[in-house]
Amino acid sequence: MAQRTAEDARPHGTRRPIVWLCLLAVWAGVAPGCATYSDRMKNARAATSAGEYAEGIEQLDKAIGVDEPDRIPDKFKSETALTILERGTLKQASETYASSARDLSAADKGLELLDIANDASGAIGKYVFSDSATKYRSSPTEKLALNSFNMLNYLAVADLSGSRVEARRFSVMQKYLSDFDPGSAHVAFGSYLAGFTLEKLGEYESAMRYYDEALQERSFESLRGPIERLSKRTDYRGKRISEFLAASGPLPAVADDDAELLVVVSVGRVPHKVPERMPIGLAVGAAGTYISGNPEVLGYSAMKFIIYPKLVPSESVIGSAGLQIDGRSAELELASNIGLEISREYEELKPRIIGAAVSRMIVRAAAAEGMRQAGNQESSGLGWALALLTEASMAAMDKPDTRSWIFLPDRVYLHRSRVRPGMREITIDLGSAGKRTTTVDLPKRGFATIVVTAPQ
Amino acid sequence: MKTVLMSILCLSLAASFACAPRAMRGGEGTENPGMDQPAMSTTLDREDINFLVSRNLEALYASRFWTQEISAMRKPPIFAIWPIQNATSEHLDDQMLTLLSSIETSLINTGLVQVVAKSQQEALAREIGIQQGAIYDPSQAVRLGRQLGARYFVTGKVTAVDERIQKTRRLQYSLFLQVIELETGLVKFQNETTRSKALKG
Repeated sequence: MAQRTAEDARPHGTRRPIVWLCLLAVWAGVAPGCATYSDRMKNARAATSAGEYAEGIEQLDKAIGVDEPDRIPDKFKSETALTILERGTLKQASETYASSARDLSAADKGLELLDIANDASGAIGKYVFSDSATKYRSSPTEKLALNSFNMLNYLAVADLSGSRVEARRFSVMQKYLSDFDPGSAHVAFGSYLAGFTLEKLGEYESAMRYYDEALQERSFESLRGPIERLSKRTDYRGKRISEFLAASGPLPAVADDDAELLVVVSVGRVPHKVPERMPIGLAVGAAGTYISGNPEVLGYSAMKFIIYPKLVPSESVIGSAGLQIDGRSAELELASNIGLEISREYEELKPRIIGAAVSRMIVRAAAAEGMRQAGNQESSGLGWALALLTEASMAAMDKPDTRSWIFLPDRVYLHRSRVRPGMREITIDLGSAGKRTTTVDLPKRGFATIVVTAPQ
Repeated sequence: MKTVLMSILCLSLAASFACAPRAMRGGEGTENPGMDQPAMSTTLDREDINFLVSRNLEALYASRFWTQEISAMRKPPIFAIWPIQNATSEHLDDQMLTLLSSIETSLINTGLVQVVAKSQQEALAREIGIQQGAIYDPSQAVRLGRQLGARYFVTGKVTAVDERIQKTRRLQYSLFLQVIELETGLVKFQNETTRSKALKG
């Protein structure tokens, strides 16, 4: 009886909008607007998960707009640099290191230009109409990981000069980040690889500085021997190096002509972003309407969506990795948990991401209110319809920024040991993703780097 | 009607030509003499290499070592050019080749010295088993230089101070050039030339 009274008391023209409301709420909630970056990467992700890297590269070529995997487009659009970065990762997984190095270098340059470019309109757009209005800016972890993975491309072919350049770029970026964003990303395996590169080039003090950085993040058992040896060639002692040396016991004897083997295994994929449309107003509005019997409550709140990119774990077929050298098991130690670093970064940024999403929701509400007022001058029904249409359309156009380095491996493991020169058989067990076996001829006092990247 | 259609066709053709990429020739003696002047990126371009090499070699040719020792020799001494190390944060493979070739060309054209071909050096380095990473080691250079019968070797390093602040990245490149006497290991000549490049937002 009370409900009927409330219904009778409704202003003229508000019954029809209830139907509109429900339809529009459903539409705005599900309409993705244009596809987001993570949507466009869906096919490449599926191919990569199946270990079909060539197919994944083909999908990425399509996204970049080239017909050959070695081509870099003349003109970079907003996502080109990021997509080339993805392609470079899959090329490393396919063991085409020179081509991967070219892609990662091109992506590095492209991302640097995006970083340096002014983006005032994008910054405004992010708070007004769409989350992905800005130019893509890679996260600190991504920036450092890029140079680290590119070091691997050069080390895999024993190009120390090229690896040294990447080590320098890694340092420049690290310094920039520590100046402007202290306490941000570490990517310890990058410091480890930079140290390894400089040690092999005979730049012992610089090598020790990088090892000191790596030890800041985790205690690398595999560094005991190298640091002990380097401590006889350079006086540099960082805080962690001193602690490390103090805690070191006697080391096993090694022959002078022993070679050194470095195995770097990168598996899994870091968490990626997916579009999230949270209908915060719909539940409140429905409850309010139920309690008060006044559908106006629902009309005002139904289109109140918070639209933002949510970080979700990536599906991974590789749990852990194993290593055998000449049929004997060898230890792989965790060098970097990049996925954890990406999650930490996201959590730190989340208040800002949600803040921007709320700001856009307020802008949509204000625009809808303006349309309602204008429409109401003709009839209240028109005002309602215009307000709902405006808010729903703007919500559909708000494209969550799901751009991130999707194929960035989640964890990096490494093994380093002194071995006798000659032919060695290295087998890496990737669980359900299979085994990879490679043979390497180690020269006396030389070295070899085995790189296995499996973003599956 | 015909005139209208013809006009539309002409306009379309003109528009298509206006949008198509156009190749052009540039440099001295062409219609675009200043084409090489603008910086396209922070990496070293031909202009930078010419500047760094010519300044260093001008200093070499004006040095006492050159005017009093080399010019006075009856038999042109043999020079070997050792790879110049890229100690920058930029991949400069092509640029390093250009740089080495420029130095080689200039030295040969003085007519005062003989230069060992680079290919011969590389083959010998492989032959005498110079290890990975040891290519820039001066002691290895001495070893190789002696085998090549060289009296001097020219070596050096390109370094760069790379800094980034907010919307600006600046690279300050330096080319260090050294001439070392193989027999004594003495540095007979050394010079440094610098050039900066920046990218601003």
